[in-house]
Amino acid sequence: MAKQTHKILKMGLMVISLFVLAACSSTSDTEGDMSGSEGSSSSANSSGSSARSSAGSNSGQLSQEEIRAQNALRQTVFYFDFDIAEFKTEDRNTLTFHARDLASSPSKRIRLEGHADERGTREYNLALAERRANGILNYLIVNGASRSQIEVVSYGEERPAQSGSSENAYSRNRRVEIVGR
Amino acid sequence: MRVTEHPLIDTEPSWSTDGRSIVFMSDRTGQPQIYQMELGANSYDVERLTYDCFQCMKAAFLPDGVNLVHVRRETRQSPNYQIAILNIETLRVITLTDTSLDESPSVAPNGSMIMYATKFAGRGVLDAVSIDGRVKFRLPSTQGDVREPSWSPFFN
Repeated sequence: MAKQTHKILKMGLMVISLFVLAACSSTSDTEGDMSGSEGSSSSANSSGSSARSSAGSNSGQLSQEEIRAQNALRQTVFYFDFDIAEFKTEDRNTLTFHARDLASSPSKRIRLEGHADERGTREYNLALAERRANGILNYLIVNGASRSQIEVVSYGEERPAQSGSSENAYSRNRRVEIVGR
Repeated sequence: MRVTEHPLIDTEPSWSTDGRSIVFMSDRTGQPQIYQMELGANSYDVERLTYDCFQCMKAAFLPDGVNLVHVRRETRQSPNYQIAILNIETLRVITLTDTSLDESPSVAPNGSMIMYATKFAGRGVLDAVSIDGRVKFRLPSTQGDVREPSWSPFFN
């Protein structure tokens, strides 16, 4: 009798661990190819050149990953659609690189400066630009940055990157800038 | 004392003339719209006042306590922001201006006209309009941006 309970318990544990495994694989699937390979590159960064030379066929991919990270970190301005507070999907990978960069250098401090175009009232634009910056703030934190590294400020429509009342100017003014501090 | 708890944007509060409620802008339904909150002893009842505009914002009561001046963008397709008056009892709307980037309306203490900020030749200027929309004039300004006007209580 006791033996049978033990068996059932064992079976149960196996089923649970299977579920856990399944959950793990599904998250890495949804995060896409970038995050998977990015994980391996950050470990390569810390292990240095000796790992690279012994990695053989992997070495090309690793340095390519580093180049991708460096290119991504060069992009510090993120543009938004009209009246939308969420950053564009195409910026997600770049922002993930920024988050990991912050996570790997805990002394680094940045400021997220939110902006809006001139349409709509000043108060609303102040709030909208803050929400844009906060959206990026949350994404950076979820991806490894620490809250204390990031300061958020909203300038609303007060500091346009480009003056004028054209759609071209508006699209350049709806932005969040990552500024070092 | 905090009276709104919504995670989205609540801003531009303005008292009603009887001091019993506040009108404010919120984008809790996706776009900026005007809401009125009755300040009861234990409850804050919120009622949405604008439905027929793409965006309605920056509301303030005229001295009659019934008409609400605000900034209005009619539809997503029409890019103009204009000054309008909403009668909160009849829900009738009168759009007073026909320029495109009008904002910051400020009602004269006697309720006869509204000063507002707009753009002319790329610069911020101040315009005034009578509350029936029939008389308009521009304050002369030769340089720089002029914005966010506010009437003194002495109408001068």
